[in-house]
Amino acid sequence: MSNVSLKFFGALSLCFSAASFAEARPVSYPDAWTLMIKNDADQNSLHAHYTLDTKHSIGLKLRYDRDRDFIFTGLQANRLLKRWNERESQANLYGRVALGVVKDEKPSSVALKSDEALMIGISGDWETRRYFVSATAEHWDNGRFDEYSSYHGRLGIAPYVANTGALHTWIMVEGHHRPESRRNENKLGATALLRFFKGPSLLEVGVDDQGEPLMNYIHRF
Amino acid sequence: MRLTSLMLTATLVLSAPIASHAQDKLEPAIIMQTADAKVGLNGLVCDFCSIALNKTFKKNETVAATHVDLDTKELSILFKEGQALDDETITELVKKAGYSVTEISRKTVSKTNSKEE
Repeated sequence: MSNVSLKFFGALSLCFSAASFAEARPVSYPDAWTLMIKNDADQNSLHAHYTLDTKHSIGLKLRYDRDRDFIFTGLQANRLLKRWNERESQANLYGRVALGVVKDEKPSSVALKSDEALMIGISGDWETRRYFVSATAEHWDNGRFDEYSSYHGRLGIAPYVANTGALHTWIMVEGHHRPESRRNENKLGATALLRFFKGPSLLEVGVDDQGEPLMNYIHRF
Repeated sequence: MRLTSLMLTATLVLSAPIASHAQDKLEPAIIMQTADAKVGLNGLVCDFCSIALNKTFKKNETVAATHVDLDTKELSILFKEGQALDDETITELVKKAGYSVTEISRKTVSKTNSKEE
C-alpha cells in the first residue's frame, strides 16, 4: 500500500472512526453487511464483513498499526460462541481470527517488505438498555514486526433510555493494557468516550489519558 | 424560466420515489395497533436488535410490515392479506435473527395453530 493510499485510509478512518464495541459485536444477522471503522491510539482499522448465519461472519480487515508503522491486510472470521438472551439484558461471547499480510509503511523504506500475520481474539459483552460492560483481548503475531497484545475493558451508562429509532446516547469509560506498546511507557491507559447510536449507525468519539482521540463508526446494511 | 422548469422537473422526479416510499411505509403506531401477531422477545436491548428482526421478517413473503418496540420488548407483525406464519416459523425467524421468543399472541383466530389473544 502506497503512502497516498495510507493517507487516504487514515483520512477515511478519521472521518468515520470505531472501538471495542466494534470488536465485541462482530456478527450481525444473516445476509447483513457491516462496516466497522476504528481509530484510536493503537491503530486505524477497517473491517467490512458479511454475516453468513446467526453465528458466523467473514470479511476484509485492514489495519494500520500506529505503534510500529505497518499495515495488515487480510481476512477476518468471527464466531458467536455463545449468546444469553434475557428479558432485560443480552450477553455475548465472541471469538475471531484474522490471517493476512503485513507490509512496512515507513516512508524511508526503499523496498516494501512483507510478512505473514495472524490475529486471534476473544471478547464478551453484557448490556441492558441502561448499562454496558465489555472486555476484549487480542493477540497479533506480525511476523518480523513482532507480537502485540491488547486488552480492553469498558463500562457504560445511558443517561436516558431511548425507544426504537430515537437517538441513543451512552457515556463510557474504557481501560486498556498494551504490554508491548512503544508509545506509552506505563502500558496502561484509559479513554473517556460518548457513544451516539441511531438506527443502523453508531458513532463513538473520545479521548484517552494521553490526549489521543478515539473515533469509531459502525454501519449495518 | 427554463431554469425554473428544469429545477421543478428535477425536484418532482427526485421526490417521486421518496413520496412513493412514504406511502408504502406504515407508521410504527399503526403497525402496533393493527398487528396480526405480537411477539414477546428476550435479548432486545438496542436498535441493532430491532433492525435485525425487521430485516429478517421482511424477507418473508407473507409479511407486509413489522415494528419492534424496545419499551414493550415486542415485535408487531402485519401479514399480507390472507397470509400468516405459524408460531413455529415465527420462533424460528426470531432465533435466526439472534433472539428468543417469550410469547406469541394473535389479533384474530388464524388458520395456523397459534394461540388466540
